[in-house]
Amino acid sequence: MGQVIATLLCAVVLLVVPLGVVQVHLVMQVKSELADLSLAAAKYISNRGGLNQQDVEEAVRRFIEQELAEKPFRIEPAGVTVGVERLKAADPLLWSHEDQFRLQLGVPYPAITRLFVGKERLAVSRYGTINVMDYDL
Amino acid sequence: MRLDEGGRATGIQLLSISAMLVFLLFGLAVFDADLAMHKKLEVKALLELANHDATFAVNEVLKTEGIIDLNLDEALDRFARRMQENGGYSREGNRFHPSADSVTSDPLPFAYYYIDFEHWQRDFSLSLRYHDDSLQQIKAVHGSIAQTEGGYIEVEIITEEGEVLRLSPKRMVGPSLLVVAYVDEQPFTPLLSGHAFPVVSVEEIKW
Repeated sequence: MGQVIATLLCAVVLLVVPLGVVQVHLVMQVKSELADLSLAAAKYISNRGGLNQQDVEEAVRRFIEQELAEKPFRIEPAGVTVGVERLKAADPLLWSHEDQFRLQLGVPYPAITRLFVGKERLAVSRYGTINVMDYDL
Repeated sequence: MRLDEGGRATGIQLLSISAMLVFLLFGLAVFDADLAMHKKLEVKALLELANHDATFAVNEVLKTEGIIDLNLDEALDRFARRMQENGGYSREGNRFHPSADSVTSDPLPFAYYYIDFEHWQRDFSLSLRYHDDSLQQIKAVHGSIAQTEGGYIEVEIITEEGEVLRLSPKRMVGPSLLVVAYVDEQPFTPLLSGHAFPVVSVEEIKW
């Protein structure tokens, strides 16, 4: 009887270990994609500037959807949360030269099972500087 | 009869334990490759964002005279601040020290070189040596021919083993700040090799 239980346990462990390996791989992959995506989005904001907060937010969302459509990423556009806020502003409305901003991106935790999940979301935040003159907007 | 059955069960267990070990080893290799990829992307992102902000440190006095030049000290302060904000690194001399939630765990040595308004149209080659956890400049040579569209930057790094790494040339579009960092991480288990690679960022002055 003891042998049977031990064998069953072995089988369970044998299934869980590859599952864990795949899960870790998946999380690392999504983290890398998020690093890549957030850099591209931060650069995009830097070089684009904007007329106001809403304009920037909409542009970033469009840019991210476009990026995800072009690149073979795992991240689904629908699950991405985008937050942009300005930390230093020269003009109350225009996002222009040397304004500082913070971009926050979040994606759902890429869990294949509920077994190992600790967090609900993966998030990254990037600080950047706008490089567009106000007369170019 | 009993002995025979027991022997079979032990055989199965041995087989499954060795299969599990193979899976674990395989998983470790995959995880290590993922980690290396992630570090590369993240350090590149950090350097580019920090260097982007650093090149806003234009010398205002010279600017009124029509000369675009960089305040190097201010630029390095801005660089360090961005590294702190984006990656949790703090600057100490010619190294960035990671915090607990930084992407790398060992200090990140870096070197910088500013190519000013008189030199950006010429080719530039920089030679660095990685030794004793720091990057030392061996030689920095400006070309003699000025091209109106800007010169190429070439960087080579000599590793501790004497291997020469040449980074792909980048073209300057104005006076530029060049920053090179060298990631050299210990492996997290002795089974694997460490991660070592250079990361480079070139940004023109923003004015």
